[in-house]
Amino acid sequence: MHMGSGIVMIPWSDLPKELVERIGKFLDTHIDVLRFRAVCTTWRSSLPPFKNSPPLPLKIPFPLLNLNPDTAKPEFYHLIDSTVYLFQPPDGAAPTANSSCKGWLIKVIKTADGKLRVLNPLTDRLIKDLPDNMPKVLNLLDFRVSQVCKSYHVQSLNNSRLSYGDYDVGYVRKILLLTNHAESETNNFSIMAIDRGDSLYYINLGDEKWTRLKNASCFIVDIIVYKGNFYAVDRYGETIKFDNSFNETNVASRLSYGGRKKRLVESCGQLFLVDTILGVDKNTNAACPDWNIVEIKMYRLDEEQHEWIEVVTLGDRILFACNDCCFSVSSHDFDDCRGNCIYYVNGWEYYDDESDDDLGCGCCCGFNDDDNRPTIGDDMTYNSSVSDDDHKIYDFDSKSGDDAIRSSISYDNHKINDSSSKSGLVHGYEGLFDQNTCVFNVEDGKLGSLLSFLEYAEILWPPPYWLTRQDQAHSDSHEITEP
Amino acid sequence: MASSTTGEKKILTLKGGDNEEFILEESLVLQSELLKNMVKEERVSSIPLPSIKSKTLVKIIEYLKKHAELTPSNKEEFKNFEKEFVNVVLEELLDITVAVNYLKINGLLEFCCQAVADRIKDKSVEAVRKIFRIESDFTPEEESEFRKETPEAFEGDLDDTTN
Repeated sequence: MHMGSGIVMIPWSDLPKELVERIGKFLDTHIDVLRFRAVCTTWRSSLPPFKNSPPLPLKIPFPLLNLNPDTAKPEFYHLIDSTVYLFQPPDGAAPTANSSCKGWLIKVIKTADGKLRVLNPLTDRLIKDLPDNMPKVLNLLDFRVSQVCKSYHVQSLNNSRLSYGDYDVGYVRKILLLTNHAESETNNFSIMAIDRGDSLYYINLGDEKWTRLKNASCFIVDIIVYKGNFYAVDRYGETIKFDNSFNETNVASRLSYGGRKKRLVESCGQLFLVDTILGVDKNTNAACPDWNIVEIKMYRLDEEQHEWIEVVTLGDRILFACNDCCFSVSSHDFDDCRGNCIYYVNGWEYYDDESDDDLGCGCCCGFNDDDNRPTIGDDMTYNSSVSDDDHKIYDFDSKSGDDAIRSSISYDNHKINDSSSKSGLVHGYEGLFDQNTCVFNVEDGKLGSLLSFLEYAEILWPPPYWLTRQDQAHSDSHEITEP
Repeated sequence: MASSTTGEKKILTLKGGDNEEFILEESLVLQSELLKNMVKEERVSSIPLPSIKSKTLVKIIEYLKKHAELTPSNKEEFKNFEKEFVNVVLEELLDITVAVNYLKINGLLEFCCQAVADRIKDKSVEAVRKIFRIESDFTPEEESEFRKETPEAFEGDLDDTTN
């Protein structure tokens, strides 16, 4: 009855701190937490810095299948991660005549030594030919940046120079991390991987070695984490769901027709299968060795019917069927860029015809011998014995510790490209795209190299106009900063 | 205002910020920890809530009614209702969230906070500050430190950076 007198309207700037905390804890990606904490001091103190769980890099036993467990010395590799980000211009940015694409996708990989590198999300190639007018620093406060997907890689602990066999896809076709938040406070997690022989393995927190899933098909071609569970598909389309204890449930039977390379992609909460069908060599009747994909089919999982249902349109969705990570975006994120298409990569390997030099700049390089490199523990368990320094890039600048607000991604080894002298449009895409980076237009059924469909390339390259600043002084090192 | 009853059901009056009155069954407001305590301990029959706009109160009462009707069979329907419930302009959603926090309606509060978090997820820091009418209160020392490291970090209006 007399409650009212003392109550005043609450302006949002004075949101009760407990409410700010409640809102903040629903943010589950690093980038969202970074931004939240950059708003003001109250918000900053309402939410602790984002912690990868488990912290990466994570030591994992390697190889997956130890043929001589008694004699061979146990070896370890690092599990590292990469993130695909969608950059968009700030809210309310005025459209200009040269505005072409309003979204830009990049992938940032964090190697075990804490270095961040910018990759093409489709090919995983290091982006090193940056235009002169690219800003020296990309401030994440100035753009709308959202996390699209995370993928995982393995990196050798000790070699300073990469040989092909040590590169992650050499042994591991794909590796995924699944954190079981709900299980307990201790952040239980599991890792699943496909090895070079298309076999499936898993390891749980606390395990000393990998377990091969013997009942699974020997020809696993892709795995995904979908709605909190691992799913695996074999080359025939048969799809299995694994529960927390890795018990199998068949969720889709094999397809009557299809190719051997299949990719699982989640789009709008549904699971899709992208099947690429190779052309056949007329003389030998064998699949063309050059990955001459002639047809792409798409399916949607019908969880009740236990079937893949063919779909003929993706609507406004754009699927990315890559080798190490698959994801989807909406064409609305890019404004006038076309939806209803699939970006895909021919072949298995990232670096089909790259020179050694390019390999050295690839996604899992950059582990030059460095004194502060994490050391290998003697214990056989793969605990997360990583020094705090390894997280400093993401956990704000070391200078002022937790209270600093920036961090940066630097692209070192970056060379200035001759293409800025307009030596040719296609030339500007060299290295980023080759004959193996392709797009499939679902609408008209056309497919082929991105080099033949440059209008589809612009969500990846070149960087959009609103990212580049004419007033930026040319610099040898580019950075992306995070709040 | 005297306490009134119709049959077994107790009736309660809630008074919104602009003095509009809402008469509802007492059992409905028991979902709010705040109102429950007031009803139980003080035995009031009319509760003034001057900090809550009537428009917001209408929405919250709508939720309380729907939630009271929730059964295992209409679970799906209720989920859709919840989805629509937070599908309002951000300003209104924030009004509701603040009110729900004040009233301590726990289930709805979690749902609203999730909805607010989803809404601010892809926005730039500057846009979030505008929405919440928050001025950055980092010290000039902090900001100059940032600026030294990353020159254009805090400079200028947000829109200037796109040209």
